[in-house]
Amino acid sequence: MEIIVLIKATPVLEEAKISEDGKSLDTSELKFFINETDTYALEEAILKKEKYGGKVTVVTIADSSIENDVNEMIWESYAKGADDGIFIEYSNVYLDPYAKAKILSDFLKELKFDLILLGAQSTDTSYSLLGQLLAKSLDLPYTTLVSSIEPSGNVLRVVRELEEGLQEVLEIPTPSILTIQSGINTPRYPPFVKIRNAKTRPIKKVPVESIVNDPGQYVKLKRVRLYIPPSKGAANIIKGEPEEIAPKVAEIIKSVVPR
Amino acid sequence: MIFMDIFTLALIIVFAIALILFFLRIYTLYKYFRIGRNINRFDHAGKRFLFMLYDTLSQACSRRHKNYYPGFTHFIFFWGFILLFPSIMELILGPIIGFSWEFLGTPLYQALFFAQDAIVVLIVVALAMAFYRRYVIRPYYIENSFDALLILILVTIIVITITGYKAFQIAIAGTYPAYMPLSLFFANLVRNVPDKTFWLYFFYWFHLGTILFFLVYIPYSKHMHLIASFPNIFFKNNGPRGELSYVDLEKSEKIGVNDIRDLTWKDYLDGISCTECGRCTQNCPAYQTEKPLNPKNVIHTVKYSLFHNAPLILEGKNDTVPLISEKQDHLSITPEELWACTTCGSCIEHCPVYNEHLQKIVDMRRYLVMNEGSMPNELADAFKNLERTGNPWGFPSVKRGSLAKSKNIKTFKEQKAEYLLFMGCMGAYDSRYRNAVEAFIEILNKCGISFATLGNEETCCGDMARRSGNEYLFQTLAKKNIDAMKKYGVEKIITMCPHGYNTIKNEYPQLGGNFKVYHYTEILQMLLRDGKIRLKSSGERAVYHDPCYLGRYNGIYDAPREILEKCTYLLELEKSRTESFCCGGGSGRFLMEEKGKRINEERGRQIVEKGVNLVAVACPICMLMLEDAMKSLHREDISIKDISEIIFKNIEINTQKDEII
Amino acid sequence: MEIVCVGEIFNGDVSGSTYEALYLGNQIKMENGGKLTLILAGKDPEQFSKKLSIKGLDNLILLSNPSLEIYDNESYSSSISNEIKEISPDVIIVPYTSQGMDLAPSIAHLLGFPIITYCESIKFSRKGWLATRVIYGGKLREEVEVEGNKVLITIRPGDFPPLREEAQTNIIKKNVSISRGRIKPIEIIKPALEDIDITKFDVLVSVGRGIGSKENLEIAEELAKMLNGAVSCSRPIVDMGWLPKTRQVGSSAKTVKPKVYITLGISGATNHINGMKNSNTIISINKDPFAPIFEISHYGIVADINDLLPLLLEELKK
Repeated sequence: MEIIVLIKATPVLEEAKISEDGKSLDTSELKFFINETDTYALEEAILKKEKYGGKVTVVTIADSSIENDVNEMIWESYAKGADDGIFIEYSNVYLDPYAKAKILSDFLKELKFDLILLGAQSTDTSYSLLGQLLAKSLDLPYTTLVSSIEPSGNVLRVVRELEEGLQEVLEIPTPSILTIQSGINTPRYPPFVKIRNAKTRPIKKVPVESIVNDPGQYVKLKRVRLYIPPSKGAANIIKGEPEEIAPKVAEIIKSVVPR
Repeated sequence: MIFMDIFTLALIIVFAIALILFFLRIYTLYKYFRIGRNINRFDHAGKRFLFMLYDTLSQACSRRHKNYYPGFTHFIFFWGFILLFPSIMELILGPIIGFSWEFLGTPLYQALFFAQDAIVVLIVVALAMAFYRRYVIRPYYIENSFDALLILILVTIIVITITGYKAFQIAIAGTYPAYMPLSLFFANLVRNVPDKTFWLYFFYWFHLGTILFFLVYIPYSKHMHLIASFPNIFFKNNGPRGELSYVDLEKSEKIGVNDIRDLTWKDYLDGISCTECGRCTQNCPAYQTEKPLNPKNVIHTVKYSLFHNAPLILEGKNDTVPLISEKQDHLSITPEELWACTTCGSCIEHCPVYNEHLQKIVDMRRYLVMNEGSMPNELADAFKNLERTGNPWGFPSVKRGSLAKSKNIKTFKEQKAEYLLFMGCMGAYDSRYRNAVEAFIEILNKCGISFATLGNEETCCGDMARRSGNEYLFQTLAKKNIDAMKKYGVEKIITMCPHGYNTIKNEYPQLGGNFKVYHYTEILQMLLRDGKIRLKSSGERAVYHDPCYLGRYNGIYDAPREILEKCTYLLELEKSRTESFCCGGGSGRFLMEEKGKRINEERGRQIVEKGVNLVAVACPICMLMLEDAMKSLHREDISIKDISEIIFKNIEINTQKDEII
Repeated sequence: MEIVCVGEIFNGDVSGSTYEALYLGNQIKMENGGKLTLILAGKDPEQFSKKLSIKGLDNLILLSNPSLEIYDNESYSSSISNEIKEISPDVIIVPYTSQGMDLAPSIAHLLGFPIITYCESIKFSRKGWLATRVIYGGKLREEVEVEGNKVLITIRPGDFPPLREEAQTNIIKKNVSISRGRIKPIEIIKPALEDIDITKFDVLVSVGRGIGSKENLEIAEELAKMLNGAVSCSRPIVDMGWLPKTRQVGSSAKTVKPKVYITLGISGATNHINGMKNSNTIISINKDPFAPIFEISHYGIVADINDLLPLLLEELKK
């Protein structure tokens, strides 16, 4: 199976710093890692490759200012078993899912693949939209919140996670796009030696202008403001030795629980 | 040319064959040893040699740790061998080249033979004790192998036959040497036996045969330690016990140990020096709580793996058996055994020949983590958190300096100070341990000690990462700390946690971080001795639980006690100081699930048995594990308190400005 | 202004999020004037006519076809889009449930509407539509505007209260023809029936990763039983296999609104919070003083669960 995994660089955000124009995040002191649900997508792709053979390519679109972190993400992917890594880099432009879908569809339609996997949601901007938009651009079938993928004849038998523990089984042909739910597997820990070896392998860097002229024109969701909401804090915080506070907590519970 | 009769000829041939067989075996072992990695242990050769002489001749191995019963028997066996050796020399070299000890002069010669008779009596006593211990008492940590039985039988035969030989020698000579009381006694019994010459030769050849058989047998048996223990002691690790090996991550082709060739010749020497005394087993907290780990097996696996794989390797064959495997056999170790170790250091503390069990376990963990990414899930999570936020729980790194800040302690960035107070992950984030840190900070402030922290620039010391096998993570974390420390010109560091203490003091120098490091109890001791603080005793009965990384690893046993004795009625647990029983939290185990009997509960039971209500600790991990234990044992009436908390209640600070009682 | 909400039938009933979408739709209607329409597609949507006759809803359009029994992207998106085209709305609201996440982008594509997901709020002005989105796990907000006067927005289940007051509504029933697409739905698998329905309980004791051990889970069960409640959990507990999926609270699992929601060792990931934040009283216990759960709790207790839980149980037994 030829699988492409889209991975997103998302930061560990502790104290957010907004840029002066009030529209973007100051990323100078942030470290970026592979988005959590994307790690499940990557693991799923590697598992399929191990079981059915084939190739796994990771593709990421990111700002060139975080190049070092992106390189580490791709080396980590190599260490886990990915075969190729492509870094589509841009700078000085804000890209929303529409623009990214346009860039990716123009780039990927030149490639041969059976499946595109990505995480169902990113921990930063959380649109849960890119996979679907990309599918529309490439005119491919898609489905979301996938928890299981198995080849079945010349289609894929896919299970989706619905609410309340329900699951939906469907058949989807390839090539197609699936967004992956978290928790469906245990992403492997990339061992140091494999990462070290991975650092000798090439990463294909593709400037976004070579794919699409002026990618900013494809942005439909214009961010006009980014801000930190006022912190509400809990109404009452209780601290202390367990022996002291246990009676207090018990009182609170007794007062609110219906008899 | 001496006339050679058949007897002498036979003697020469037999002796020569024995020597040849012996040296062939030694040569094979030498070839085996060459397949391993090199390690330089030839530094300070003179000092090493003197230490080896002292340790072996005084039989220090027997005197340590109160192992009096086997200590006594071994002392006798050791000196027995040494004292009987001249006799063997005479027996062999006498007929061949006419060698005799008579040149020593009569008094010395007679003294030698008297000593030999005396030692034979003691050997018989020791043999009886040894048989009794092995086959009646049957301690669980002693394996009653055929090898061991054979050795005891051979020694028995040797003393019987030497006595027999001497008895008949005296009877034939018709003398009555009072300086050989035992031999004389038996000689008197056999003076009237017919055909004494036959018996003389009988005992001679039986004795000689047994000795030569023993000689050839040694390099195949556990008694190899007779030869190997000397070099093993010579080549022992003289670095700080708490310093694990450094790995050049960029240059090392292979990281960690999975194959016999990844070990060093010293590791092989450990394998064959093992005396199978079982003290490591006896003192291993994992083994004591029924985990599959047995430190003795770690050493034995090295030996068996060498003997199995070295011949294959020397023949150019590739079907070697790896050292780590899920299969439970004598040629490999399972990952489960490896992960059960808490790195408490009891094994290396108790080994009479200074074997290094721990480094091998860590090296194998390094293999699993750095090559295969294989480790218990809780460790994988902890590693991920350490990588991202600098603490194993994933708490925000920007909050690491919160506690210090809330106490108005400056960071080095804001204002340089004499000491760096290294908070450690527990100190910075743990809500229970916070009390101990606050107490210590208060004492420092009131005594006018100049100190500051690294604030949010501090990250985990990396101890847990290294011991769990993640050498890359350790070096990354350590370098980050060292860079910050150097940036601010830090020279002196106080740590709360013994793990931080050990790694910053003994391991940071590997990465260029050389600082003067103090555990906070050393500072308290200093303040006490300087009269800056006075303590009054509450008289409360208490015990002190020695933390592995402060006690066994760094020899700090007295400072905490000096302090505690002034404010409590301090008793000693049965297992204290070098014998202290691990709390079970080391090398990241405090984050991991433990199946079956729990190490911390076992220590808890020992504490409960002592009948005190206050346990003093000097380590946040010990505090966490022991408090948990008391909960599980439903003995929450027993308080676990940090030393700083205890003295804070009983302190009188001697300053001009304020006296706080 | 024409406002269209796309409803959903889930597990044999109208989903709770449908009523939440109506709430937002009605809010927009009240701010801007106009008409609010709800479209519901299914095998037999007429059975819900009475339930969906709601005050504030002007038109209820029910699209039926036996083949619409199981959700399928292409048949649903094409039939619903065809219907929406005839209304020519300014804003379409779709709850971003597991179905909505699949369906909404397709509808947006077919109609040429821009789609903004997970909107916390939306405003219309001369400049057009401006949406506020919760991002970075709740730490930040972004304001997003689109060109033109038409937009499809999706909302996170649980973000809005339901609009339920019954009233007369214009009901339009249509039989639609559908086209099957490339995807073939096979079946829906329901979880084992033995387990309980946590949405029916007044008191929930919810455990998260910080619960520590399975023993503490048992203490949580005892606590729940004592309070006539049930044990629910966050996602990691299900991933570890300690509780079945039916106990999971979160916008991708179950949304609950009990009278009392007690959390034990839950940090407060956005998805979880969105599944329970409308609970009447939220009491949270966590040893991390910086846990996001405290932001939405009425009472926050910073303590180690291992220490506090057994003591708490003792106190409650008194």
